[in-house]
Amino acid sequence: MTALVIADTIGGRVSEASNDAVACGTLLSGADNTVLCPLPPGADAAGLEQGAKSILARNPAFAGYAPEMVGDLAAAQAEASGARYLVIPNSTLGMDICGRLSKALDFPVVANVIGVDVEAGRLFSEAYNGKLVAQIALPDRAILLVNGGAFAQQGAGPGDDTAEIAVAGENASFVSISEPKMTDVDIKAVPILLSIGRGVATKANLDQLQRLAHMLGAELSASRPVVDAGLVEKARQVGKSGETVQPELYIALGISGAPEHLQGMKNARTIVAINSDPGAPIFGVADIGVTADGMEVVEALLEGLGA
Amino acid sequence: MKIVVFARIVPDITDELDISQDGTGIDREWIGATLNEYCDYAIEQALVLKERTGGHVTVMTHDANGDDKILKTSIARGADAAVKVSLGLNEEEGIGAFDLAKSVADAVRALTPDLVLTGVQGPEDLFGTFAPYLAAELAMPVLNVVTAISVEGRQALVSQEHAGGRVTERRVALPIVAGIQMSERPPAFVSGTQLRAAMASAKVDAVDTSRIEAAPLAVAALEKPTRKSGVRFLDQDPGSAARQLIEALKDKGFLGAAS
Repeated sequence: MTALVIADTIGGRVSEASNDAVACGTLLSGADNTVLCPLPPGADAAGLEQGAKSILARNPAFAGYAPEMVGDLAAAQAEASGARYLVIPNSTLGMDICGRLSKALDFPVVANVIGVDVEAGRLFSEAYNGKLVAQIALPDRAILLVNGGAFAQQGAGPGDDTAEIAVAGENASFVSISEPKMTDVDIKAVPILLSIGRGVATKANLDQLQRLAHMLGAELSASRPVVDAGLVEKARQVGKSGETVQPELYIALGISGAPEHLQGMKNARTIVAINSDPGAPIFGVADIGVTADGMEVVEALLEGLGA
Repeated sequence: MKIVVFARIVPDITDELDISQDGTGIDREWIGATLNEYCDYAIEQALVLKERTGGHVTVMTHDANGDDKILKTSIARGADAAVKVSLGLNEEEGIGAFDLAKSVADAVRALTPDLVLTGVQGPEDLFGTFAPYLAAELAMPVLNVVTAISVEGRQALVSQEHAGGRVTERRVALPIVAGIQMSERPPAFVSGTQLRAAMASAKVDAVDTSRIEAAPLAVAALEKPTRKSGVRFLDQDPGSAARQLIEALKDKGFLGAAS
């Protein structure tokens, strides 16, 4: 069962989720796992997990974002190697190339993959914003879009069997790449985070929430919808398109726990989840849970802490 | 410029979900249907583009609970036309992204769009999302996780978000399909008066076609996720829960000494 893993290398940097894809590919195929890593000339594959074999594919366009070129490369490599599984991070790149690859190779797509049981012939995917898990019979060929943070990783660079290939072509569409704005806030560096979600975060509530953070000795962080609503700066966003944090204490207040958010915080040492929905996925990673109205709990906490 | 927004109607998963009797789907009897949140942003972004650069916006959806209201509300928000593609679905039936793309592609193509917008993902997209499949059917490029889009002549300048908040910008020739992550402004509020007027007068064009059932994979079983063992649930009364939580945090050394 040959697997071909496509590493996600925006701006010439290997993404963390690429290693989840490598781990998934290894589970599927063991020694038949090849990792294809698009890189600009001179860049190394720092942080990329070992596959049984690695192919570093070079073109200056890979210093930016060139999904069409990566898709063409993946299709050619899949056909040449006879790969039965294409394993790609469930990222912007994965979404940009999977449709065309699926049609070209006649490979069905399985998204949000969080587990593989080859012996039982099963794939596991997150469904309904993480509220449920789906089991899917392992098909004989597929494109798997793998969720970040889902697979245990080994922490090694590309192995001994590494080849380099030159890729022809150029990417006329690329304009720029930008990093998140640096601010004084570094939520990765603080021991306690009070993280607010859609369930509690409004303009009217923000003062109270900031007061609670202060009383707890916490820095305020937030889920994506709260940042998108302009209530909190981007630097405080936890999740797939924000920061990945591992504080001593993470209090998730009014956050349902969509997979994109869990990816960014589930390895916190102690997790407290406060949500009025007892089925919220956040309780699946919590050490302490409270199923009650978030702002009523906030008011009671402020009173109890002497605010 | 002709913009088509395909707005998906999806199950409302705000509340707890029950698994269906056969164990392979969700029990839809007691949950409502709603406009997919990201498709709401797609509608709004189409209207932003129309205001800025002119053009014609058609909002399209398939037959589902609330279809007419969603389409007529789009007209009230500023869309120029609304189209319902009837696939013959019954009220409690869902349709996956793969089948939906194959089923509606002809209807979208018939409008000869320069730009097709849709939400970046929906809650039931286990087998891939809608935008990539629709783009493959239409033989158009697709750009996903779009956080900003503008049009100049026959080119779109598109910002896409990646892990860690990095953003890439690309300039691509139209026509394209874009999977919208967020719009430049929040979706507009439509007053009751505007909505009633739209429901009374807005016209929805109908396209009748058949559902194409071609999805090669299916769910074998659905289950609740495994919870971390040893989760301690506190009281449900907020006051009592707060007191218990403060004590627990003190015990763990996060607050002052335990009382």
